[in-house]
Amino acid sequence: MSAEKFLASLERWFQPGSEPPEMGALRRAALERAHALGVPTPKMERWRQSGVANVFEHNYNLPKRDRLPMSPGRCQLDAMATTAMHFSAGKIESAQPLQRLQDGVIAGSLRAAMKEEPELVQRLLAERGLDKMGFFNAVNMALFTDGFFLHVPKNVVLARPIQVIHVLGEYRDALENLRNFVVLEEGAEATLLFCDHSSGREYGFASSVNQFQIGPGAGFKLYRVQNLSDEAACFHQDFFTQQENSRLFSHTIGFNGGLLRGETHVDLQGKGADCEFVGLSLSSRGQRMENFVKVEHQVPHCTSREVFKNIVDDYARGLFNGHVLVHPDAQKTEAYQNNSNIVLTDKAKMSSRPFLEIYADDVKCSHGSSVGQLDDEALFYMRQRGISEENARLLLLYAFAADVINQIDIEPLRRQLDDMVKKRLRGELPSCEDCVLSCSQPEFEVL
Amino acid sequence: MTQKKNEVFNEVTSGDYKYGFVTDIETEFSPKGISEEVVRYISAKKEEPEWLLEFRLKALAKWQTMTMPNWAHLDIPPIDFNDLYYYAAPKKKKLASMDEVDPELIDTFNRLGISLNEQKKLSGVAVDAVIDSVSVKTTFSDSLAELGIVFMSFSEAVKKHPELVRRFVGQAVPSGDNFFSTLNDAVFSDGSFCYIPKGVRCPMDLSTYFRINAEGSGQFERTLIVADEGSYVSYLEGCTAPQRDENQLHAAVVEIILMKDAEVKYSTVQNWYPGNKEGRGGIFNFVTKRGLCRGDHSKLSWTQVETGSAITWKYPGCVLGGDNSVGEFYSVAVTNNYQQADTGSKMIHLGKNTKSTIISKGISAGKSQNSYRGLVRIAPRATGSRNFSQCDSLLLSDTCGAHTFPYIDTANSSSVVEHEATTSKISEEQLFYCQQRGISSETAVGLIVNGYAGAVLKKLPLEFAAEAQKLLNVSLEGSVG
Repeated sequence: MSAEKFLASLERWFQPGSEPPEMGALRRAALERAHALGVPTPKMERWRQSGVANVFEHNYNLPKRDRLPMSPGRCQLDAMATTAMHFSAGKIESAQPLQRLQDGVIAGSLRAAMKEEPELVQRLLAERGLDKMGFFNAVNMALFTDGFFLHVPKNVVLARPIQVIHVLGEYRDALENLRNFVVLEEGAEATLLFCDHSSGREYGFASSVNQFQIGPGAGFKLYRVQNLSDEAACFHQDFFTQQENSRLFSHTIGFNGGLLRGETHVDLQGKGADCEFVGLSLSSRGQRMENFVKVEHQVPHCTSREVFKNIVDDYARGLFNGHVLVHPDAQKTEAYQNNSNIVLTDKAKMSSRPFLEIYADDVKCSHGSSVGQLDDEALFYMRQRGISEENARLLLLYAFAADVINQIDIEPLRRQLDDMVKKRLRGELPSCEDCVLSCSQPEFEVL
Repeated sequence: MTQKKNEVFNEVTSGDYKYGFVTDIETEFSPKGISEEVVRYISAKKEEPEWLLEFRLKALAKWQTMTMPNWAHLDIPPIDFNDLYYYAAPKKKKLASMDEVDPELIDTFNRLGISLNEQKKLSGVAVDAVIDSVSVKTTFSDSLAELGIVFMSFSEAVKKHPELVRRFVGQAVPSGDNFFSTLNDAVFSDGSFCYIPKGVRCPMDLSTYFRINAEGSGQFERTLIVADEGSYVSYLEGCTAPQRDENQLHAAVVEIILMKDAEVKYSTVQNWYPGNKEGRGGIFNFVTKRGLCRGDHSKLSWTQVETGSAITWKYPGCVLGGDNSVGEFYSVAVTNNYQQADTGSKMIHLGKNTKSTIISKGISAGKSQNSYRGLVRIAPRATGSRNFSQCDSLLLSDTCGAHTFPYIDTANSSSVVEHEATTSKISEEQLFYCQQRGISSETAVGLIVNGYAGAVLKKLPLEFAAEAQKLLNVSLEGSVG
């Protein structure tokens, strides 16, 4: 398989099926866009140092319905009350794909929503023009099979967080494209937890494109936990638009995965909008974890903060690509960007690119980036006090990661992820053959 | 106050470029355009040996397969590389003493404030002046020669020290390195060559002065500095060009090679014609500068004050090959009106325990765009290495842009890399504080800007520091947005 074959195969994979004709036309146009763009290569600025090339080395199979990877329901966060939605093999696992929750909240399958709420979906599909789409976004538009859909009406506060679990299929060379749409109307509030997993040891590629419209004064929290096998590749692209005085908090932890790439684009379109991005990537063996974050300050008086941390072990590779763009007239902007990394071995690699692009003068923008190791003096201090070197190292690594974990404000989730991070640092958390969230029980407080 | 600020701002931005005069010297041109014939013509004019001609032709062949890079944050109008004179020289033969030099030329350099006259020993700086494509006069050569220091024009060095030139040329910037350096490889006309022998500490600052004079010509000079074991030299570079409506191309290459324990300080005050306030004319300054710290414990320090040029594309770098070698980069880049700058540094750590420091201060005003772009790469075997980068940007108007594009690649577990950057405008509090104490707003801004750039300015040799400070004041004083 090569880039050319991948492009050629797009036609074979393209099956618009029984959708309305305008949807078919949109998918066709997206496919043409993908052909026009060509596959990304590490020679392109956006994809420098990326492990993207491997994605085109496989002869993909589209999702098969007959071989379900696992029975749904095992991915519950035991201690956390959530409404769970399962997606596997590119489709929702539910007898009732579109649910009407409290106060007119609609949640469930995008495919079902396209039938039942065509106007809303159309609004979302039209939001981002084809001409702005990158390659994987266009491919996703052409091929997506389903996705999660959430609409929270004006001034409604979603009572329970919704957990969206996507498990990459167990069949060989799986290619799964999901498209998720979330709309928060004025004053609405919601919390989502996205869990990305894989169920088998076979290579597979999960690509998701997520659009989030956050209305005036709305508040949105997005947690994302990614734990896939070392063979799997998982790309997610988040597109946020924020209206005035809206708040966004996005929190991502990458535990395992052959290639995890997250792209985040934020358009701050209304005055007083505030966003915060927190990320932690724990990579070891031959894993590659890449984060790309672009924050566009389009109007005055917005604030943005980014904190991304990487621990890179063995011969893994980490990449952070941050980009703050302050448009002309976006005065009084405050933007803060921080990328801290720990490289544990001489074979591991970390690349950091914290960019600032600023066209307004009355702004406060800063960024910091550091790559280093564990503090020898701190290690020595602990060993003096009878803590073994191994434990001292773990404590320091945990302390580095704890900043990120402690920002989770759902206590049961925080406890569980805290425990998972400890296990991961000790090398005990598998890139799951089974879903990790069911096997992980908090069991100890100190390492 | 705003009214006042605007007045001062207008005054500054409409201020004249005082080096914009044209000297009427008879000039000899190569045929227009770039081709094998032109390259052969230049080589023949310079009476070059066969190996150098081959070097040029190889580069030309490579260049013809390359395309101009577009990754920089610059808006470069299309350049017709076939509409340029690649060689322009004052029409006179080599001269033995100052008396034979065209009086017009001497006048030019006097107006620029450069002492070519050997009697002016007080200034204590040895100068190699390059006008258009040809080195006009190198001062103090003889007294330097007593110490074994070779300081002469590049073409003279090719004749007198071919073994040195052949051994070192293309070591730091290999042939075909990038689009503009390859163009320079093919058509470079002259430049300076400097060799400091083992254990010699150069007693005076060496200096090259570049000036583009002829119309429709590009300047492609090449500087090669070799500092042998345990030697030291401080090298200065200055540049100006006449005021013209057209854009002129300057694509230079500077190579520095440092042996064990050697130290080189390279300082630049770049003041090419920046174009007028509508953004017409000005120099395109596309320069490749790189130092190769080959020996252990060598140290290379780049200091630059960039105030001129319509477009600057320049990333002085250090390849830290020797163990414990040190690279430094200090930069103040000022852009005003429609100037664009994409500049920064590359620090490639290859040896063990290598250290590098990058301090970059960008100041943008008017409608200019000012970018810092830097690369810090720590190779797997560069254990125990250390980098610290700080890039600050100061915005003086609401129509300019200030950008920071750092690239950091680390590939071992015992190195520490730190990068930080801030972007802000001059704080109202600082201004107010000064004004409360009876300091006028222009003086206050001058103070603040000089304080802001102070960390870099103090790294410059004395005379240069004074010139740079003046330049900063001329470009920016009072221009609070």
